[in-house]
Amino acid sequence: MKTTLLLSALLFTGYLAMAQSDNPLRVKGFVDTYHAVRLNEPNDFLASRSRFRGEIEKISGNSYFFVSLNAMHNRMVPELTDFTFREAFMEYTGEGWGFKAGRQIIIWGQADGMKITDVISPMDLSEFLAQDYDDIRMPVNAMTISRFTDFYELELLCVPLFESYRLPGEGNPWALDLTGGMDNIHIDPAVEPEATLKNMEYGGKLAFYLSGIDLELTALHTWNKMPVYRYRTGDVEEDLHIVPEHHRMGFVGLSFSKSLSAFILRGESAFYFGRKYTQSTEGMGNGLPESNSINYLLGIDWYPGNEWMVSGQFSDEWILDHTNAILNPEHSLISTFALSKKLFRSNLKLASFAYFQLNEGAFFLRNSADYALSDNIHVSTGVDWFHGDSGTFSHYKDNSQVWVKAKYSF
Amino acid sequence: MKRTIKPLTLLATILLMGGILANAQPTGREIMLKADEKPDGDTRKSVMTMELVNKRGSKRVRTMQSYALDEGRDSKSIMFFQKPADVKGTGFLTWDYNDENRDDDRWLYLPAMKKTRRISGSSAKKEYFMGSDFTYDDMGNRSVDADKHVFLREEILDGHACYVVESTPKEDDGLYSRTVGWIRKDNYIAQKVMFYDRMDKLMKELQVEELKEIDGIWTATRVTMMNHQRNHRTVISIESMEYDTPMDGSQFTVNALEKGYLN
Repeated sequence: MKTTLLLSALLFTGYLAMAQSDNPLRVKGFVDTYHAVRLNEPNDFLASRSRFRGEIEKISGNSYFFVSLNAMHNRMVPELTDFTFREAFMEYTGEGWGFKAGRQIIIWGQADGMKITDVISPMDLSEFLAQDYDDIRMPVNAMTISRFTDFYELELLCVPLFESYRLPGEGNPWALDLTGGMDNIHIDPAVEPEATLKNMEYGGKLAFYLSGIDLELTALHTWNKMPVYRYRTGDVEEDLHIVPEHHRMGFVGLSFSKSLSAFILRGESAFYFGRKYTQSTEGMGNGLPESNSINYLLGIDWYPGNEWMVSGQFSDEWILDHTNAILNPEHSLISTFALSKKLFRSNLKLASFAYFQLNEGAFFLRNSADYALSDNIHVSTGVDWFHGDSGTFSHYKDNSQVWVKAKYSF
Repeated sequence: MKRTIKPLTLLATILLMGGILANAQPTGREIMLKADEKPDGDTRKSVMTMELVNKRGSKRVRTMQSYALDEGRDSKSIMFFQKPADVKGTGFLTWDYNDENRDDDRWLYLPAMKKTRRISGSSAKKEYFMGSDFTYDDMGNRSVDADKHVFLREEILDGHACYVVESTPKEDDGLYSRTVGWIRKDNYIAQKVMFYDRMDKLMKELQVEELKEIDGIWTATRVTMMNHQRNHRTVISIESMEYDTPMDGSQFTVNALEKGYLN
């Protein structure tokens, strides 16, 4: 019934878009289908899904609204088969100020594929990182008020209700088994903040767009949206319970993007206050360890011309006053590398993107080729390769996959 | 009676002769300056369609809405893509500086990523625009003094009296070794431009196919760029053009780029 109603609403708004000649609704979107097969035996399917995305927007003077609807059929993870609102927000732009309210994606910072200050929109890790990065970001219900000129923008933001990362559930080939297959280890329900006013997330961003350089100052009172884990013993002595928990934290951040001839230098840093961490075995029995940290990233993009693009990033999460009670290392070092080239009048794009976990020597590499068959249809294929003996990527080394995708945009 | 020429008269005569000579044969730079400074309104609002045609005749279409504002010899522009569907909503914001030693500021907004990123203002100029035969530099305001201009001759082209000017980049870092332009004497529109590659072979040829006077300003409403080396052509048609509509610099912001419309 819900699906029928939403579909009817979509068709009706589509009809309105065509019917109104003056200042009409604008409709766009896509249909895509994506299928991935494990490289190793038994060569089973890791993903098989098809999706419709409809986006409707309208400008009326200084007012604007945008709605994005998602309908997906997911053969491999049936609980992800759904028909939902993705984004739905309104916007008003006055003389040098504006506001935006509703379900929306919010992006801060200058990093690509890394989370330094870009922590407002949670991540959808239902297929870990093996999907397009624009699909990984999840919208949140938020309100922003902004003041802007041609060289600066001040944005104040609040997210009334907490929303966590979407993690792969049971039956999903991307789910991690935290119990290690042991019957006496249990995963408890996540401890999430209550839906009260005092648990609201709020902050602000002051961005400057200057000749040759962009600067961004940020501050946010937020939550760790990816849970940290506490261990507790159960009623039965041999039982061990793993409790996913979300806690308050805050940061102040600074980022920049500077052009230097054919290069763009990017940097992003944040000082996190009172961040909770997952316990190590040495910390069991105590409360969650807490520390401040400095997260920073340096990146460089090179545009040598002829439709080549080369990019590299290096990041470090440096936990200050690190103790053995914290599972994470004192420095978590990650670098990324991206390379792309367009050919045949930009119709074919070859791209590589890799994450390297430098502490563990593990990596995730995505190689892809995308061809524009027509102005509407793109077909693409790629190989995702996970490698390592420890670290996050090592858990997925059996999930290295080859995939195909086709997308019709309208 | 002995005739004498007063020094002042001599000077005036030299100046006059110089002026006549200058009028008869202006320098290449003077012609290109006039072409650069010809009236084009203080602001421009347009919808432009690009038709990309390959050697088999198959076509791809890109449509853009653009806004531009002059601020002295600098300019600001913002462009929103309407077609093809997969890039609809993509936007470019450019702050273009006349000073050849200063890189332009450019930002790209990708609606799928919901993200704006600063892109290189120098190398991007050499890139082809959206798979067309125009580079960003071909489409932008290249500084007159970025090239050395030499007047070659006068010639009648398509029934129009033209100056023929050869322009050679001062810095050897572009796609072209030189260009030769046919600049109409009556309105200083470039009727035709030949682009030569770094091996000095003919690479591309731009031809104005339709010219209209809109709001008193001569506007090339249909232009074809033929790439002889790739046997591919791009036809730009101006669907609508408005000059001197009210705009100000504070509208050309990253905020507007992300919204997809000029506030």
